[in-house]
Amino acid sequence: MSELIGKVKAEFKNILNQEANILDDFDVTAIEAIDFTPSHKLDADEWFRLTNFSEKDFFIDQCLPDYSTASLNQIANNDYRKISAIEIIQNGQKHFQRITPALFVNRKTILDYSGEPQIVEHRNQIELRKESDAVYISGTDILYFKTIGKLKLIFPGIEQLHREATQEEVDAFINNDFISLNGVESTSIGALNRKRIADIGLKYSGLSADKKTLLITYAKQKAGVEIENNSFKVKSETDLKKVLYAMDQRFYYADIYEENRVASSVRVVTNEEPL
Amino acid sequence: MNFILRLFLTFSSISFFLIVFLVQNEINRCKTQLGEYAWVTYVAYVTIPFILTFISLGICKLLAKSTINKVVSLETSNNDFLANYLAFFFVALSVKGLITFWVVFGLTILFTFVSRVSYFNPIFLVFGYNFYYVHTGENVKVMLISRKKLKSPQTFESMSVRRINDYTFIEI
Repeated sequence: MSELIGKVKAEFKNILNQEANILDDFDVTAIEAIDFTPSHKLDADEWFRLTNFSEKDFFIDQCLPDYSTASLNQIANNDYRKISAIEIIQNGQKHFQRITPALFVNRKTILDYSGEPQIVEHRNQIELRKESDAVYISGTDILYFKTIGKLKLIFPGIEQLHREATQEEVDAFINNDFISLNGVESTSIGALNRKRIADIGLKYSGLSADKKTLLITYAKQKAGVEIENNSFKVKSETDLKKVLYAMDQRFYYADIYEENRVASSVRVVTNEEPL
Repeated sequence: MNFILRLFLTFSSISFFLIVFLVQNEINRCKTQLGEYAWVTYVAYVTIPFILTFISLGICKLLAKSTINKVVSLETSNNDFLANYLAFFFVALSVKGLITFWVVFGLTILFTFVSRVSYFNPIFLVFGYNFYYVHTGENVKVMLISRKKLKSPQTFESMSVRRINDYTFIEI
């Protein structure tokens, strides 16, 4: 038994219910699950994971294991245009997909050659993708997903896991004496660097004074950003990114290959994993 | 399509109104032919709502499905509805004239159709169905028509139900 419900504005509505599966089941053994780390960039076979999802603020009732779709109103025909996301409930898994305008198939004329050739008019359809944006498994209480941004509408509040720094936080970071902006306004710093400031700026402020000094000395050697009056002369977003990467110790020397490198994706690994 | 299904359900649920009127006013086209067996016609009249209800149960199998997996409270509501329903009988008994009848019958169909407690059909009781008010796990109150003898939320088992409207579900 699989069920399909859709989010219309703030309300989930019942769409349909059928015996056969709607999507292929999500195979946890075929993927590598990584605890959510904003600084990590996923490979194709990797998914982020959030454990104990039911205890989070942004958990929604529609993820409850014994959710009754009879609690929902039936969708009306003129609601479909307003669907922002769908949920598929099947075999204890809950698949979530964000619905964007590109997924609406309107008035396509298609030559169907699967049997006798025939012209098929596609009207008013929504394409369901093979891969969901998020999958929640009630049995293990884990949410799997690839990008947080797509889930904002489905799990309101989840974006706090990877938020942008507020203007005050940006200002506080920029006011550190090792940074001087030159041609960049603190109010016009882009979303990506704001996210890095929220992430790395927080890590930095948690360090002891000694470690802070050591880190800034390291960063000045590695970042490759012009130093003027003993502080970074940040002339562009790229410079700021380099400074932040250096403050995250992402520059390293691979001694055997004899290469200086930068890690565009980092996450903490435990020693239990074989080296 | 759904609209026609629901209209039929509504009609079958208040068809007794029509029957009571026919019997009360002794409307019987075959009275002269049948003579002393005229009562056969009235028996036929009375079976009509049963046949309609039997058909409407079949129709319910075409309605969209939903699931109820958990309930937090349930109460039977068989008796509450019977009182409402009996009121129909008395109205039908006191209606005089065909025009009055069609106006009142039409209005009753309309109000039953649009009301959320619509589709209460006492003949469902005869076929062994019970009427329950349940609060689902999400605390939404819906009416559930089921053959099962439901007693407590703890022993409630997941069921697949048909959606008559957003507040009324039937388990077939």
